[in-house]
Order: sequence, then C-alpha cells, then structure tokens
Amino acid sequence: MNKKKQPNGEMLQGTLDMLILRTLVMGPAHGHTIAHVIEHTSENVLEVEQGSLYPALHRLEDRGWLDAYWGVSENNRKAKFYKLTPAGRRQLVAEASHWRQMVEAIGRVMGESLG
Amino acid sequence: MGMKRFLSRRRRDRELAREIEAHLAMEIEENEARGLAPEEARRQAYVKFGSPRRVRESEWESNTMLVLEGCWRDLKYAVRTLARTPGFAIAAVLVMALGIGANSALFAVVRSVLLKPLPFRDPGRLIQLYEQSPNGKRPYNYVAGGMYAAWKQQAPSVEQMAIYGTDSISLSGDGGPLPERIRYAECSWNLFELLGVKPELGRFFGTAEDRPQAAGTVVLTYGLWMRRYAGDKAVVGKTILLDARPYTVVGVLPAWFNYPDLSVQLWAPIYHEKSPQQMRQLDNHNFFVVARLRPGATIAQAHMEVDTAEKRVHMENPEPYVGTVANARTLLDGLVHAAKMQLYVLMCATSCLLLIACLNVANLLVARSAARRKETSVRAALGGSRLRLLREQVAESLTLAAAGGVVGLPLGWAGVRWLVDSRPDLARVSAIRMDAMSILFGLGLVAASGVLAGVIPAATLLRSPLLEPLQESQRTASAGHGRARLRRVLLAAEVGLTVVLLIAAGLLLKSYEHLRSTDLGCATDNVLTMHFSLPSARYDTAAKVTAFYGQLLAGLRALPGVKAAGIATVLPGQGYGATRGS
Repeated sequence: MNKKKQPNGEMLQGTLDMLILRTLVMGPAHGHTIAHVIEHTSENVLEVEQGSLYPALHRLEDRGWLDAYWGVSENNRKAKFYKLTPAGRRQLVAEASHWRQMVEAIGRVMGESLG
Repeated sequence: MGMKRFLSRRRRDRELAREIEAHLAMEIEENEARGLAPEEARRQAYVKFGSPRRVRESEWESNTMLVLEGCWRDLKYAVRTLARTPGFAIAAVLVMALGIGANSALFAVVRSVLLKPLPFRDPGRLIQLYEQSPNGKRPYNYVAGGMYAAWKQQAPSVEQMAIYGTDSISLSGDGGPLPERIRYAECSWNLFELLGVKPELGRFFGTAEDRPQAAGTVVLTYGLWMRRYAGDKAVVGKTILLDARPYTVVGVLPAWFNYPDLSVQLWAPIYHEKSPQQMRQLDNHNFFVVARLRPGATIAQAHMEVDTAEKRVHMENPEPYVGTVANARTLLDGLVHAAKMQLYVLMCATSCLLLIACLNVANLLVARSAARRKETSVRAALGGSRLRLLREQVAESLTLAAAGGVVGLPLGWAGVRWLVDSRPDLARVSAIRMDAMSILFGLGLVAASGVLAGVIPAATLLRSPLLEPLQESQRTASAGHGRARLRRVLLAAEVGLTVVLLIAAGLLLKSYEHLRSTDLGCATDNVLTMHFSLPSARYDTAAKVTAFYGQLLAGLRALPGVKAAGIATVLPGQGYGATRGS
C-alpha cells in the first residue's frame, strides 16, 4: 500500500481543504466520518493525518465555508457536525477547477508516462 | 476577526477537546468492532490520530495574537520584579509622577495661554498698535489720543480701529451695596464690534453715545453684573452713579469676556469720558489702540502705514514727547508677552525634572542588569534574543512610567486648578484648563519616558557579548566595565540636573522671602488699608473735602477694635506711581 506521508506543507493543507469540501457535498458529517470517507474513497492511498483534520475544519468554518453544529452521531454519541454553506460550495467549484488546471499543466510538462 | 478568535480562545479549546474526545471514542469503538482488544483498540486509535495535545496547542497558538501574549507576559514579569523592591519602586514612581504631572500641567498652561487663539471673531486679524516712548526704551508704549485720530485716517490696511484706556472710579447710587472704587475702562463705541463680541444682555454703544454731550451710558462686565446686581435681568436701563454722575446701563458683556484683564468692571464711551482736548493731545500717552486688519492685509503693511502717519504728525508738531515711532504686534502677543519668558523657563525646569526621573529609572535597570548577568547569559545560551531582553526592560520602565502617570496626571490637573484659583491676575487665566490635548500629551510623556528609561541601559546590553559571563570564573562576580561606566555617566547627569534645579529653586525662594520680609520701617501687622475717592461733582470745595475727612476719621476711631486711624495719599512702600486716585 502506497502511503502518502508528507510533512504538513502549504500545498497539502490546501488540498485537504478541497477534499473536505468535496466530501461534504454529499451532506453534513462529523470529523470522524469525513476522515474515513476520504480514506475509503481514495482506496487508502490518501491517509488523512487526523491531527490536522480538525484545525482544517475550524479554518474552513472561520472562513464561512462550513457551518458547524453539535448533534448526535450514528451510534448515539454527541459529535460536532459540519455542513457546506453556499459560499463553501462556490469555493469548492473554484478550487476544483484550479486543481484541474494544475493537473493538466503538470501533465503537459511531464509528457508521456515514463514507465 | 483575529481579536474575536483571541478572546474566545478558551471556549474554542474546550470545544476542540470535546471534538477530539468524541473522535477518539468513535475510532476506539470501530477498532473494537473489528475485533481488537480494548487496550490495542485504544493504542491504535491514538497512533492514528497523533497527539491530541499537540493539536490543541497548535490551535491555541494559531488563535493567539503573539504580540499581545508577549506583552502581557512581560507586564506580569515586570510587576513581579518591581514588587520585590517596593521601596525603590515607590520612590521611582513618585519622581516620575512629579515629572509627568508638572510637565503636563505646564503644557496645559502654555497651550491655553500662548497657543490658543483669542476667543474673538477671526482673532488672527487682530493687532495692537503702540507708540514708542521718546527715550526709545519702551517700544510698546501707550498711545496719545491725537495720534490715534491721525492713525485712523491714514491706515488703509486696517478695516477698523478702536481706542481704550483704563482708570479708577467710584461706583454708587444703585440703591444697593456700599459705594466702591473700581477699575473701569473707556473705549470708542466700536471696540466690541471690532473684537466680535455679542452682548449678553441689552446692547453696546452707538456713535451717538460716544460724544461729550451725550447722556452717560455704561456696559457692565458679567462679573460685576453677577456680583453687585445678582444677575438681575432688569439692570438694563437702570441708572447708576459714577463719581456722582448719572449713567444708564445699556448692556452686559458675556461671561467669557475678560479683556484686557479681570480687574476692569465696566466700560463707558471714551469720547464721553474724556474731554475733546484730552483726545486731541499728542504728547499725553494714556491709551491702547487695537485694530482689525483688512482681509489680505499684513501686519507689516499696517505697521508701515501707522509709522508713516506718526512721523508725519511729528513733523507737523515737533514738540517734545510727541512720538516718532509706531509699533505693531498681534493682539495675542500683546496680552501674553510678559508671561512668555517665564513660562518657557518653567518648562525647561519641569523638563529637567522629568529627565531626572527617567535617569533614575534607567540607573535602576542598569544596576539590575549588572546583577543578573549570569541569568541573562544562560537565557541567551538557551536561545533568548537580545530583543526579548530589551522588551522586558522596556516593559519594566513603562510600568514605572505608567504608574507615575496614574499618580502624576491627577496631580497636574489639581495643580492647574490651584493655579487658576490662586492667580486670577495672570494673562488669559480664564482660558487655562487641562483639556484632552494636555492629557494626551501626558500619556505621550509616559510612553516616551518609559521607553527612554528602558532603552538607555540597553545600550550596554546590545553591545557587550552576552555569553561572556558564562565563560568567566566564579570568582569574578563584579559588574562589567561597560555597565559601570554607564552607571557613572547616568549618575553624574542626574546629580548635575538636580543641582541646577536646586540652585534655581533656592534662588527663587530667597528672592521671594526677601520681598516679603523687607522692613518697611512701620508696623504692618493688624493694619488695614482702604482706597477711596471723593467725586469732584459733590465735593468741589476744599472745605467740603476736609469736613468729610474729619467725619470719616471720627467715625473710624469710634469703632470698637480700632486703635488709630489716618489718611494719606500714598501708603508706605507703594512707590512713585501710586498717587493715582487715592
């Protein structure tokens, strides 16, 4: 299993934000669920450093892209749920399109696959 | 936004703690559901999460405004360190308080007296015109009535000119309190209009009243109106007696009007009070002249015109004592001129005081830093920067300065109030008060002196190598050379300034004492004096005057408690110019 372990650099922080926003398009969830969804959907290639998950969530909430509220989880625990706001939705679209441009550009530079 | 986060740090941390707890609980449950033993489930959950403490710490830090946090910590340290030597701290605070209070108070005075514009309409255009005394010694001397008349015609840069003089007169006949002798002023009818004053009650003079044959009219000052007539609105139209002649009150001046000084109690039209000959005289200098410049004209132009007119008149009337030179200056200057020099000297003295206070604190910090050299070196070795140490010292001196400000500013305010109450004869004293600007100045002084006192000792801190003390052997525990020299310099400066101030204060006290205790050669304890004057209208023969004096003395001697009574034209010790009107 290829575990992507990177130091907590600026690029990864931005990417994590985008992934969180994308995950929440499907509906509100709490931190634990978000982490699992990202890992499962990426087939465990992306391992979310859970320590940086909550700071990221709070950051997104401060910027107004997420709303937070305390609720009850599936197994009857109190947990803090996060919901995407309209502004967050717009931010997700912008970041996704930026991401695609980056990927295409990098692809052009790298050319054909090297092996 | 940052401030809100900073203030709600604790709440956010609590929420984060709960969130993390919930997360870990869920992870542990899942692990157990997968079949792991409880401790293994816990361990793996924690491994996967990382360190909750670190997450909370980094969140806390990102919510913190580091600058504020650092400042708050420095402040706490400073207070704690100062509390260890309370004696010195109190002494330093007191000296600072004196310095800051005295400077702020004096600043308030200087600002009100010298810098604030006069309360008249468009005060920048008001000027005062003078003749120079014939011997050239007094350039800003009184003006003769005839010269004023000449100036009026020949000064196109002046929009309006007015003349006034002061005198003493007996006020009586208003059916109220005893007759009294007061200072009054006579002015041309347009003086108040020129200055831009509106009457509190009634009106001011018109041209018809400023004539010798007109019926007598007066304008009261607010102070007189309150004191003698109890603010009675019916005073307009009342008849009073000045030197036994009847005058009608036509108006009252507003409360703030104290021109030319507080002693003048009422005003009468000058051409009514003085005879036409007196007002035509060129060699009798009795009056003041004020003028308002035309918009666009400068005081230099007015000066030139008036001077030319003066010389022309002198040429046509070359008698002695007719003036040859005219001078002009702004009205503000004319009023505060005498006080200027004294105020500036006082400011120098109080600045010295504040400087002494700062040097005092600086000395303390240098001494302390000398004692803590090893500690400083250890901290430097551990990574503490010089800037950090500097900040701590400045925090300490700022704390002392702030405490000094807290004690000193109210002292300064009280000082200003006392000055205004006890010296009503000062120029523009009614304008003196400690306003927001002075308080801001005081706060600025606090900041400046705090920083200065903290930075001076840092001169050695920034230059000398910090780790040196660690390399020294334990035996040599003396202060470094650099610090010792700095301390000597500071001490010398402090002592020098203190000696200067002490000598100046001592000299002033000595002169004052000398004045007060001069032996007049006669008894001065339990002796009362009184001014009075008999109006010539009623007491026109020498026999009547002598009869009055005889009655007065008899009446006085008969009073219980009076041992002896006498009459004189001059009191012992009053000097040459005291013969007017007694």
